[in-house]
Amino acid sequence: MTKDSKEPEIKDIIYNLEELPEGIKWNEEIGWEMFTKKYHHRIKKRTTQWMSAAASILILGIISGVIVFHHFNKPQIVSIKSNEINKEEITLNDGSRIWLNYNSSLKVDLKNNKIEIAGEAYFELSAKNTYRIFSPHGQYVSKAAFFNLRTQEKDNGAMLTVSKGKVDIIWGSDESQKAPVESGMQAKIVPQVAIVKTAIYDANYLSWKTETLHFENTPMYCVVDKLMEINNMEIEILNNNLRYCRVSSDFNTVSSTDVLRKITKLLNYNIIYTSGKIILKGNGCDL
Amino acid sequence: MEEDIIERLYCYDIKAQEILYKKYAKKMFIICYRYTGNERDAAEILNDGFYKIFRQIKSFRTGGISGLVAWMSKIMVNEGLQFIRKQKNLRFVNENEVLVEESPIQPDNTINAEDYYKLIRQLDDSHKAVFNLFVIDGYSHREISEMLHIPENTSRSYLLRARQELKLKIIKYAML
Repeated sequence: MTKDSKEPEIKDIIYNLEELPEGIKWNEEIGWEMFTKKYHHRIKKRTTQWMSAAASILILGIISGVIVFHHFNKPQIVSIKSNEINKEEITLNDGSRIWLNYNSSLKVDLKNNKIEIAGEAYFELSAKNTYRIFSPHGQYVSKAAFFNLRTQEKDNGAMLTVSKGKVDIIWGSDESQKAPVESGMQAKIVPQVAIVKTAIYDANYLSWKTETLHFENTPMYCVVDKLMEINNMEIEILNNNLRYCRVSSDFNTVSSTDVLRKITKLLNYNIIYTSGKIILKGNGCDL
Repeated sequence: MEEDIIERLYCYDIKAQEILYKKYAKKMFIICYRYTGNERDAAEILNDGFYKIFRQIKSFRTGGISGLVAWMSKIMVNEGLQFIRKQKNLRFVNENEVLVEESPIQPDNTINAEDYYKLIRQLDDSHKAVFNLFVIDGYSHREISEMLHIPENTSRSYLLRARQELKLKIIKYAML
C-alpha cells in the first residue's frame, strides 16, 4: 500500500507555473474573442430568457389575479341541457338537486343562487340557500322545498307542483305581490291573467322522472291523455264506451305501447299502429 | 476592487467577465492543458468552463477572490475530466495487485517547471488523470474515486504507476 504522500515541490512547480508551455499560440485575447463568439449571444439570450421569464411570471400573476377577481366577483354559471334521448341531473354545492326532463335546459348562477329554466325540472332545494328561479312565465322563490316546474304548457303558461315545503310565485315585477304555493298544491300560471291553485290532482306529475305510472279508478281517456303527454304522441280511442272505462293499476313503465298492452288484459280493445298515431278499437269494459 | 468584480459578476456584467477572464484564463488554461494534452481542446474546454463559471456565479458565495480562483480551478478540472471521459482515453482496470510503497518524486534541479509540465503531459491518460488530480490539484484518493468512479485502491494503483512512469521519463530526460 502506498502512502498518501504528495510531491509538494512538484505540485508547487506545476501549480505556480505562470507561463504557457512552449509552442502554445493561445492567449487571453484570442481566448476571449473565441469565448464571446461562442457564448456571448447565449449569455445575452440567457439574460433575455430571464427577463422573458420574469415578464411571463408577471403576466401570469396578472392573469391569475384577473381570474381570481372574476372568480370572486363574477357569477359562476353552470349550464346543463337535455335532449330528446337523455334526461339530465345536477347536484349543487349546497346539496340541492335538480332533475331535467327531456328537451329542457337549466342555467345556475352559483354565486347569486339564481336559476333559469326552460322546459321541465324537478327541484329538491336544500335549506342552506334561497333560490330565485326564472322561467319564461315568471319568477319563483324557494328554499328547502321539493317541487316540479313545467314551463312549456300548451297555453304558454306553467305548472308548479309542490310536494314539500313552499314556493312563492312572484306575480309580475312587483316583489311584494307573491303567491305562495304550499306542499300538496299545484298552481297553473297563466301569465298576465291568473294563478290557479288546486290540490294535486295529477298523481303522475312526476312520472317523467320516476318512470312509473299510477292510476286509480281513472277513466281510460285520462290514461291516454297522460301517455300522450309523456310520450309526445297521438293516441285515438275509437269507441266511446272505452273512453270511460276505469283503470286501476300501477305500471313500472311510461311507454305507451307497454302500458296499453298491459291494459288490454283488463279492458277489451285492440291496438292498431299507424304511421302517425296509435288507435284503440274495442268495446272496452264490455268483455 | 476584486470584491467589486464578484458583485458585478453576480449581475452578469460582461465587462467584469472580460476582466476576470483575461486575468485568470492563462492559469486556467494551464490546468485544462494538463488534462487534454493539446492546445485546441484545452482552449475549447477552458471556454466551456468559463461559460459555466459566469452562468453559475451565484452558486459561489464565500471566499473572496482566492476562493473564486479555487472554485474556478475545480470547474476546469471537472471540464478536463469530462473531456477525457468523452475521448474514452480513461481506462481503469481494477486489479488485485499488492501495492508497494512508491516514494514521491524528488524534483531534479536540472529540470525546469516547463519541462516537468511537458513530462507530466506525456503520461498515459489514465495515469496522468490520477497524478494530476492527486499531486497537482490536491484531491484525495477518496475524492478521485468519486470523480472517476473507480475504487480508491485503483486510484492508488494508478498513482503508483504514474509515479513510476514519470520517474523513468525524468531519468531519460535528465540523461539527454
